[in-house]
Amino acid sequence: MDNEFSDQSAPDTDAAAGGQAASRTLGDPIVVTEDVKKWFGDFQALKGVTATVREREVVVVIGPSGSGKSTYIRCINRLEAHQEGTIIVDGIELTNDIKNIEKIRSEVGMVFQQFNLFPHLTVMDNITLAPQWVRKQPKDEAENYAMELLERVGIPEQADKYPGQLSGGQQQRVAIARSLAMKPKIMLFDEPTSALDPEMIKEVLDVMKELALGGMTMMVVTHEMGFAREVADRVMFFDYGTIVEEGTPEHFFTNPQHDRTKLFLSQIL
Amino acid sequence: MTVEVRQHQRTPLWRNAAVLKWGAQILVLIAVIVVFVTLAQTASSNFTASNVSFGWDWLSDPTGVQIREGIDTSPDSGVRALTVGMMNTLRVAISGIIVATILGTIIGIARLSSNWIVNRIAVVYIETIRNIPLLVQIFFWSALAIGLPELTADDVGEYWFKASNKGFAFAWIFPDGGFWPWLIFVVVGIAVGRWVSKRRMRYQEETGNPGHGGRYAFAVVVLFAVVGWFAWPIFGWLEPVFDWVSDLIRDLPAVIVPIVVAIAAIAGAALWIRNFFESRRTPAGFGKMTDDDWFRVIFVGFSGIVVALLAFVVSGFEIRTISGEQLTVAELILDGIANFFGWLAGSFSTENYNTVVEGQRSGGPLVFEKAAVILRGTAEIPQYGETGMVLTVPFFAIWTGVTLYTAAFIAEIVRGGILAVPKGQTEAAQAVGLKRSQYLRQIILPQAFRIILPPLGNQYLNLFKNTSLGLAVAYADIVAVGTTIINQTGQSLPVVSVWMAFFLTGSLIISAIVNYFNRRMQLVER
Repeated sequence: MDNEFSDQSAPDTDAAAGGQAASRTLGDPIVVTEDVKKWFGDFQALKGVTATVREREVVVVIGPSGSGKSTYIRCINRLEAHQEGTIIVDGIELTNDIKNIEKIRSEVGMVFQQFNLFPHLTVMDNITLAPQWVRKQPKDEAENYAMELLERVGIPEQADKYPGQLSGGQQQRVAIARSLAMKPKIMLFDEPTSALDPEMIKEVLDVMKELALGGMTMMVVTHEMGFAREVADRVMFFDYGTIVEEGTPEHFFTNPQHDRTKLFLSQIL
Repeated sequence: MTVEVRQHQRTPLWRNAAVLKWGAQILVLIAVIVVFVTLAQTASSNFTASNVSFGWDWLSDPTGVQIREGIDTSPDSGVRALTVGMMNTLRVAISGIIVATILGTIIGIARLSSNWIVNRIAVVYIETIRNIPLLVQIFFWSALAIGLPELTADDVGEYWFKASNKGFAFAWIFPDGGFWPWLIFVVVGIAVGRWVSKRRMRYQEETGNPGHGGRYAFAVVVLFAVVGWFAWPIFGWLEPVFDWVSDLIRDLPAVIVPIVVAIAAIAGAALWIRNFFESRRTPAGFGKMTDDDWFRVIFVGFSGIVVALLAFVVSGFEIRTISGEQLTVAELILDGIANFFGWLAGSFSTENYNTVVEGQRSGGPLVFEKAAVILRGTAEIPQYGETGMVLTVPFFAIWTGVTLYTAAFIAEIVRGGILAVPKGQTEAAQAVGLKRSQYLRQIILPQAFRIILPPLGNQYLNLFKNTSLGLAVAYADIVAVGTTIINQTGQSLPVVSVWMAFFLTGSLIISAIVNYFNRRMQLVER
């Protein structure tokens, strides 16, 4: 195991740990979902998902396409509305109360498969827009922090360019910086590397690893098994709208219990 | 490894791509010129054969045209009559474009609303309006307004709003004697307000205390407006200055006009060519000019010289003015510019400072007037008075017709533009916590606007040209006035060509404005 990043040395007794995640201390539950159900018309996308994510935990969600994994994390910041069950994020329950939804959205960052940067704004404006409008930060302060973030994701020199002038990997790193600018407590990643060339996947994953090591709570939908093995505290396997199996990466990749999990792993590994 | 070239043979002329391209360009140019000259000659010989003579004397001849509404209801000449018609057309077009844009945007967004009732209202509006011919709608609005009650002697008095079969009259604010000097105060106030607002914002950034930039700016503008309201006569010294400029221009030799135009044309062409060459320059050196590029350069240079020469020829033409003088075009233009400065001088006059002259407006910057119904003439016919804003039935019919009609199309364009912004943009904006109103304004509308703009420009052109349907309800637009002139003088071709020149110019100006914004809205890509 690569111990280069293991600077947080507090032992973790609570959760069974895998990979280098052993070095992080998990905190209190921050995302609690109970029996979450969701239909698209006749089709039931989520058939009662119960799970808890704790502070500083990195959860990787895997599963075949159409299994409901994206829908699940999109429910957590209400991009999709669940119809039954409860979702509690940072102590606030997600209901139809617009105030709660806006509060949760400003605490939860999200990174999309298609980046979804605002093409009419510069990289700098993409990042500083929400802090200025939602957090009411002065422009100077927002821009200073944005530069800090751009340095963290490794592209400070692109601040004045437009998204259309950047490569896919650079765009996704800007999207991560844009989410981080709101100082979120949780980051959701919805297949962040699926639209990237192989060469650019690494630069994005590196940024995500940095984040995980910095103690960010993360839920990541991905097909990058290497990332899951190396960084995740826990892996959830979704199929047909339910969590079929979950556990530490070690358990998951070496000793899967469920037949469906075995089949899935045999096809992708 | 070297490649063997089979043979080096001179390309024959008829297979040389460069020569063919040049030949095609020149041939097309010649063909266009030939077609136009032939048409003009045929027309002119036919007219001579049928003993019809066309000329432009009707422009300056006294005319008996009576116009129902506008800046001058009994114009003294053809050109004056057409100017009144032109102003009436522009009045419908400009206010129509503004209102249709606002209304169309609201209805377009309403059609996207998830509120069922709002949504249905928008759908019904759009489907009704855009599926009935505009002419029918204009007749409908006219019939509706004519169906209103008549004015009677009992109605005499002042009103905030009054509707009758003579149209609609309501209270309105008009610019008055001190308007232009006061406007200087307001414009300076806005500039100072911006500066103050920026200062306050910097203060907020530095100290973290609330800067209230907007409030400060607003206060500054109000302060300037209020001070200007009383202090505007301090600009009175501009009156003699502009008068002096006006006299100076009037005394200039007329030959200066073609000289200035010629210099401008040649300088413009030279500038264009220089910029064009500049745009072909790359860091690696001067880029290769294609044949097309050379053709453009030569064409522009040639056009510049032709315009310069034409300026001298045209400015020598003599025109008979209304007073019977023979003036050259150059002298007329010089006169026009001098008159403009004369008008400018007059608008800074302090003669009527805060005095109320009987029968006129008071001498302040703005004046508020209620509408009035009065008895006019010896027959004591109840009519709307001179005060307030009066919309006649024809104006109401054509304005309401073209505005509502165009708004329906604009609504669909707005809806399409908003829907064309990818859903991911909304999701990303929501995910960073922006409120609906915030992300609509900051993210969705700016991107939708880029898609909306070109078809929106088309709708503006349609509205502008559709105003000519005012003829059907006897609205005194340029077409209706021109028709009257044709009936009186028989000069159909010249009048029609004035119409064409007017609509062409107006449409090109609208296009230019829309294209300007379109260029500014382009997304930056690699």
